Amino acid sequence: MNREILVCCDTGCLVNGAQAVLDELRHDAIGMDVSIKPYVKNVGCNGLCEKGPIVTILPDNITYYKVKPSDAADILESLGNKAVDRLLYKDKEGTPVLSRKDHPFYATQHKIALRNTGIIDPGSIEDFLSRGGYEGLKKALTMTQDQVIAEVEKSGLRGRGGGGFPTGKKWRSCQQVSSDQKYMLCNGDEGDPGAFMDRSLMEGDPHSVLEGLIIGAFAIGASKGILYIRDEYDLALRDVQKAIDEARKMGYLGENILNSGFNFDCEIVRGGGAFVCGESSALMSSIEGKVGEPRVKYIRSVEKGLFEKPTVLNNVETLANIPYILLHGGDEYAKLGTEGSKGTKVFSLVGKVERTGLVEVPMGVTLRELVFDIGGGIAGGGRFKAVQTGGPSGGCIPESLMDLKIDFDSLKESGSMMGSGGIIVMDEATCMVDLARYYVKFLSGESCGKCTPCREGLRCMLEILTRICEGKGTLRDLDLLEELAYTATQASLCELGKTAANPVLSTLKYFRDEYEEHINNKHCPAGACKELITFRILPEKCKGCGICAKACPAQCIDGVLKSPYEIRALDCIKCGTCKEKCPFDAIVTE
Amino acid sequence: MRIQIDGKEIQALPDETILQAARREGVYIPSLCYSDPTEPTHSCRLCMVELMEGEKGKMVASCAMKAKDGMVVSTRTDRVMRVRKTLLKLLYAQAPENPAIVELMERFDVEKEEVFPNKEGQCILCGLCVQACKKLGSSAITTMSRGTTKEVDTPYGKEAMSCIGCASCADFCPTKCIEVVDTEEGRTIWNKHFKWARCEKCGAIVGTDKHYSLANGTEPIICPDCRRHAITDLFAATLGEE
Repeated sequence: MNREILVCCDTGCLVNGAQAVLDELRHDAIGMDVSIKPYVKNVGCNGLCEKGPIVTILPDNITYYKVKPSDAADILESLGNKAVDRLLYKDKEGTPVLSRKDHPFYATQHKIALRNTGIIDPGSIEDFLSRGGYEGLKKALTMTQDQVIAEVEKSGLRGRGGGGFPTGKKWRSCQQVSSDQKYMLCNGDEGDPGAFMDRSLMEGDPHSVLEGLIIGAFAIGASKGILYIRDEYDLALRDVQKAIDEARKMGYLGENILNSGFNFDCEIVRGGGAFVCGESSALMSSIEGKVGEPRVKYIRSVEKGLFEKPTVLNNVETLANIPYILLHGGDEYAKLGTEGSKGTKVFSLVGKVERTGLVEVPMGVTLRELVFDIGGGIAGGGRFKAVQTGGPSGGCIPESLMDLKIDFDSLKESGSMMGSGGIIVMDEATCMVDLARYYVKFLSGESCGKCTPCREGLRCMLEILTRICEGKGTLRDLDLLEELAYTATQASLCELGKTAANPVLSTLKYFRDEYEEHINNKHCPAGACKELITFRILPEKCKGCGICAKACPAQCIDGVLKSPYEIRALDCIKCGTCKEKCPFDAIVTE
Repeated sequence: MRIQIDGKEIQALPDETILQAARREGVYIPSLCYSDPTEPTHSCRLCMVELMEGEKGKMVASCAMKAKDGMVVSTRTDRVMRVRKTLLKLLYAQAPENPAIVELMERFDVEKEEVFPNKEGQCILCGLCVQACKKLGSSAITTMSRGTTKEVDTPYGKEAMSCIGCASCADFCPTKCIEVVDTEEGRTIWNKHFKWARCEKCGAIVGTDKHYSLANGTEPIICPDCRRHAITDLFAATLGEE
């Protein structure tokens, strides 16, 4: 029987050496026996990026993790025989797990947007077509615009970029505006730290995004489309461009698409490198060649958007859901999820969690299931502290709310937000004041700087938070933070500013005691704020190996071999290298 | 179209914003970044008002929100005042002791103390200068970078080729923080020096040479007074008067 060998070549796996694995497999497979002819291909993200490079054998459904080029020969030899044991995932009892379906990371996932990633070769339109690609478009072209929109409305799909606006409603209002020119845009300017949902989709299954875009264009009556893709996303840019070229060649783009009389073509615009360009009006300014600054939105972009023409802007993940909805019906999609948020959502699970990667689950699963069942709990056995959802504009959710069902509305109620789907897990070593400072620092550099409450509010919040982290804060600073946060939320021009204070507000709400501890006792409970901690070697634990002294970049650890070493506190730069290197856990922070 | 601001009913013209209607009718709403002739920047946010609709009310920038018939607007609810006061403190931190801001602070009972860390200079980044330059000058200045490092400058901080030295930017600046140095010889602005264009007849200054030549081409430089005299003389001569 012939075998297909799928090598994940998404950015994460490539960084871990997937290209060499792919080359080696291809090279070794050339001379293989004709009875088992392996076909080696590169595919998009498999999800479990932490354990990459990931290699899957079809049709046996065997998945190998952390594969090295030197494993290629063994893998090829094992085809049709016993699997290579050492490369399999072992469960708690140590039993090897063959199929991905039985791996706890994948077991509870439900893939709609990611239905093709990790399975198809993103560079091959034939591969995509063999999985039912462009069937959604074919079906849409036999329907009327109203029918297509009605199907999307029925699905209950809400914008996956973070806003959560009902997609069908957006399309409907744009369709109803009459104009000589309309635009259909795709937002691929993913910028949240730690988020890679859209990148993985564009790299792993670009045609699904494109198909969604074409269906959307048909529904609203647009003849031009633009995919605005983050400039740093090299592979995504390459794969989407290739998808556009191939789709055009096959007649899915261009004049008279599939003999339906519908004309539509699209191109890529590379992002300008600013986080704020992910905001819809700033994105449109950027495409127009202007500075990427948001503009006031009392006039909606479905009426006057890009170049003052009616425009619909949808996120990458939103569009990837569209072909499925058309093909299987809105009702089928709406079976999944909660009352207000239907379907599934892709999350990038990162931080101090055992298994990091890309996850797609039905709306309504709890944060606990996501972090502990799928993610496997806290890495290194630490204690869970909080999760940050929604990126820099989101908020921190404490342990007490871990049974919160994930959907647009419940997350907003908790003071965080869905955002685009970044989930950052934190353990007890994370200082919440420091975390708030990190996000405020990020935003103060990424704010467009146009309006006072956002630009100056962030500047002042950053100074105050830094002060608190250095143990120089006062209790009045907490009132000032709340005042600045209130003003930014109420008076900022765009959503970035309006949500910029969320990290501050949510940490103040759930972790106020940590702020007070920094202020009153000049003490950082997590041991993370450099100005408030000292490193000390416990003489009773120190074996005098000298590793710390060698590693110390400030050369401030003295001692003689085989007797306890000591840190000269005055010269210590508190980098933490010694603590990390000590084999006996003899170095503590106080 | 009629709208109500703080209980007072006023007339709003089609396509007018709340702020435009209010100003025309003499109702005061504070603002530092709005000026009729230039494109609005919506940046200072001092003109935030509350729209009394629904149970909650809605905060909007009155310089951006178009007036709609029957709109009920309040400029002094608790929400508006809270935001306005914090904004004034933030503006004060950007332009400490600036008369325009101090005046507003006094008007709204905001204490003049350093609550927030001060910034250097007096610029509040309202963007009026950039808009004025675009409309009346030559787009010689623009905003640079983003976030908290944003500033107004000429391209690359060098002498702007297109600057004509008209100083419209400085005229529009609400905090008067753009330096214009005028001497007998000429004007220095944005690190660029200009010679005066002087009237060929009386020697009066009519503007910078670049400004004059952009507006009048290679025509001889004549000041408005001399031009008027010349025309009067021409008429007189035509009519046979001395």
